[in-house]
Amino acid sequence: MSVIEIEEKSVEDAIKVACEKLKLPREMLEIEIISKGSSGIFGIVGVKKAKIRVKLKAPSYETAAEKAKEILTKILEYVNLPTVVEAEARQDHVYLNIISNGSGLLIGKKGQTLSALQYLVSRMISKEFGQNIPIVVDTENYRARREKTLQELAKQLSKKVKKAKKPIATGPMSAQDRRIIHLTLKDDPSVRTKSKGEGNMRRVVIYPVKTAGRNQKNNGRRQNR
Amino acid sequence: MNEPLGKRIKSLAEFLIKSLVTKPEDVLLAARENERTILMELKVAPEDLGRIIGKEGHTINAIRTVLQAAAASHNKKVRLDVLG
Repeated sequence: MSVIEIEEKSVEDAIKVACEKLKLPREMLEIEIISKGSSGIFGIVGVKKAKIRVKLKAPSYETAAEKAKEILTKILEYVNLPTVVEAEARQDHVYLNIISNGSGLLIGKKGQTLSALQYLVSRMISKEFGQNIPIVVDTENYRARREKTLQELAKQLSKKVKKAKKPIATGPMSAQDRRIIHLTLKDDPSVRTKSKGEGNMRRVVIYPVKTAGRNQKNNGRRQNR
Repeated sequence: MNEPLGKRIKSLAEFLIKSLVTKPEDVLLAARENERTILMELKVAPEDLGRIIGKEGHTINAIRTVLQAAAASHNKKVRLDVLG
């Protein structure tokens, strides 16, 4: 995060200028006073300007969680469903859970709607706080269920790869989903995973790894067929 | 709230878009509505165009998806076009 230094007549003035410059409230700034400045004698002799160093304070996840909950609640007001949002500041992200009637409308095809909500709330939060805060939006335990499904899929595919000794690709997947596939197979020495493709056509390719033997000609190389 | 649906979906779009741009005062959003569909056209400040579309249309597609979900809960469809 960038650090700026500001010189003004008084410390108070300097803080005011800093807030205006960064368009942020005082509570979100970390302010270090370098010199308090002095108005000298009769404002003539020995006038020294006040100098402060301003840094963006890392917002607590609690603050971000509150704000994120507010935003998501506001969005959901427009949806004709009974919804309640729970927010929780977790260790490495802010977790928002939507409690609804289980219609699946908020999940969408392959979690599309949930991802869109998550993306928009993240964008708004990062704009508000001037930095990225990871946010997860969930409903009906969808994220956990999806993770389990993908882990199953990863294991099944890796079995197939080992048997056929040929690389196999998954369908197109979001970054989040691909991450789960990579993580599931990362400790399996007999396969190797790599993401391929562009944009939303990106998919995970699982390659067999030959652990021993001389015949390593095709090892790790893409087989065009 | 008993506003017409088109208006409500429009204010959701407005809220989402204005929270993402740097010049909310330059956001222009027009909405038309027929039986099944709400049609919206959006204009933003040129410097906000990229911000609202996002990388590979990620942002605009997320906005569309959320609007579609909101409208679908009222059995309607939505189209949102960005005028460049």
